[in-house]
Amino acid sequence: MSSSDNEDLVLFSVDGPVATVTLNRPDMLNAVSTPVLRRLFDVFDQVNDSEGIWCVILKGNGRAFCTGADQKERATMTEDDIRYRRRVGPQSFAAMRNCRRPVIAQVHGYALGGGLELALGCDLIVAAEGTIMGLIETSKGSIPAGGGTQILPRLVGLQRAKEIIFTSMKFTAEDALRWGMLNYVVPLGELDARVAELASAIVSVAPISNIQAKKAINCSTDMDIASGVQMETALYERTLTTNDRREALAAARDKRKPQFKGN
Amino acid sequence: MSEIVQLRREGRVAVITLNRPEARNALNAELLRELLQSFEAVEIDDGIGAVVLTGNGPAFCAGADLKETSRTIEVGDFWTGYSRTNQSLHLHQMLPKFPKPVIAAVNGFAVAGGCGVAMSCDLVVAGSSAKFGYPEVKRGLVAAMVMVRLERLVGQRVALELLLSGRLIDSTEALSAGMINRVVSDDETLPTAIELGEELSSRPASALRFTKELFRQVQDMSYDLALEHARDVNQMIHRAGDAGKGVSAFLDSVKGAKGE
Repeated sequence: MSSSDNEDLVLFSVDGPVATVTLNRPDMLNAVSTPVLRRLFDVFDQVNDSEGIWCVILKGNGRAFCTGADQKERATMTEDDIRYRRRVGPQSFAAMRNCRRPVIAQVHGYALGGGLELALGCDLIVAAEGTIMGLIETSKGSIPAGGGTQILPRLVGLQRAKEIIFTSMKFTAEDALRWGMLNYVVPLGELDARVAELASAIVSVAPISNIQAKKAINCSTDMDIASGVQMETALYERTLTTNDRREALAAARDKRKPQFKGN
Repeated sequence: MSEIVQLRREGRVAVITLNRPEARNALNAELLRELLQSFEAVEIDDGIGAVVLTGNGPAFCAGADLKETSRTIEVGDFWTGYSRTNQSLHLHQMLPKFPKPVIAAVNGFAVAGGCGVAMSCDLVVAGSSAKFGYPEVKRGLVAAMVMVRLERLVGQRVALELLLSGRLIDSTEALSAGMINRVVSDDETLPTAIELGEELSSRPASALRFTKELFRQVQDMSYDLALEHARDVNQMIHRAGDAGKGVSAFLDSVKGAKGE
């Protein structure tokens, strides 16, 4: 499958140091198909290869962020398609987590099933008031398989995660905020601005520091603490030889704001 | 054909050939990308049951393209060769998850990242004059990503010796270290690998796929969890189509042998 066939499924634009990845199947409430997943993986690869992108926003065009798996596609999938999906799916859902740069999910309307899992794969989540959320796969005879069973308990604890998945319940962004799943809930009209503000705060610090910090923080859920602390030291050490570290020290000496270049 | 990665079919076996003989099939970003694309094409091809990966010319693969790397290196540059190493990461993550068996047919040198690629394949057939090793340290480099698989294959003593010394070993030594499966005469390397691929292709595809997948999964699990997961896969596979057909064919053949 050539990625160029899929470019309109997920839009990719860059504005200064901030890239925006937009799910773009508004007529299908941004349902996730295999080509969408493949394209997402390629887009985040592009981000990783870029020196100039320091933060990424993931959002959806139209009425909803994303309502999960494309059920029409599901009905026509052959065994080969399913096999391919089984390999490509997990790597695409992990693309935001594996992205070197901080990724913000900008969520509105609905974030259901695989759609919520895409958001959960991001580093920060900002949602519009009243957004309807849920991991509803169990009501469709499957289970969340985009990382949901692994990430959700780490955010909201085991009890709440089990309640959410076992009952297939729908809940609002306000609930999710209270349970620790989100960073902010804002009125829909302020969503773009709030996310842009967050992104601009992120790109104001030393970009390589954020790369190293993200790796270190992810290690805190992937490793035992002693190994994680060793990783932290190694990741810290690499920041000391960057030009931006020298710039920060010089700026402090000269009592001015540092100008970071991301190298 | 002059593509840097060639793909052809031999019956139910796909043969993927690294084709930069003038550069001893060194891995540059373009070759890695095309290699990944070839695997993806094979993955969704129902007519293919197994893959053979080999190199054109006197070497299987000499590892990272140092010419490309040195072009991009600037001291203090955080981004050096990132695109290539990222493609390389994708390759090493993909091979163990690829749903069909992958057999490396190692003709000649498989060194540094090239040895790493061979090790990431499921099975390795080597010619008698093939050489294996990780000479990165001799060039002041670290055999980084490739050590992950090597340690799991051969254990810490052998892995550390190879990684710290940079010494190249021949196929006989690689065989006794557990790095490869078979040594044959150089001429027979590719035909033997294809024959092995044909043999594997005759097995039910789902049995191959689940065997490889379970094998990979249990490596990273605790002992008890691995056993429990294996039990579940066992139960599931008994209900799947291929298993039913395979088992009744086996029972029929037993009956036939007894003359029932």
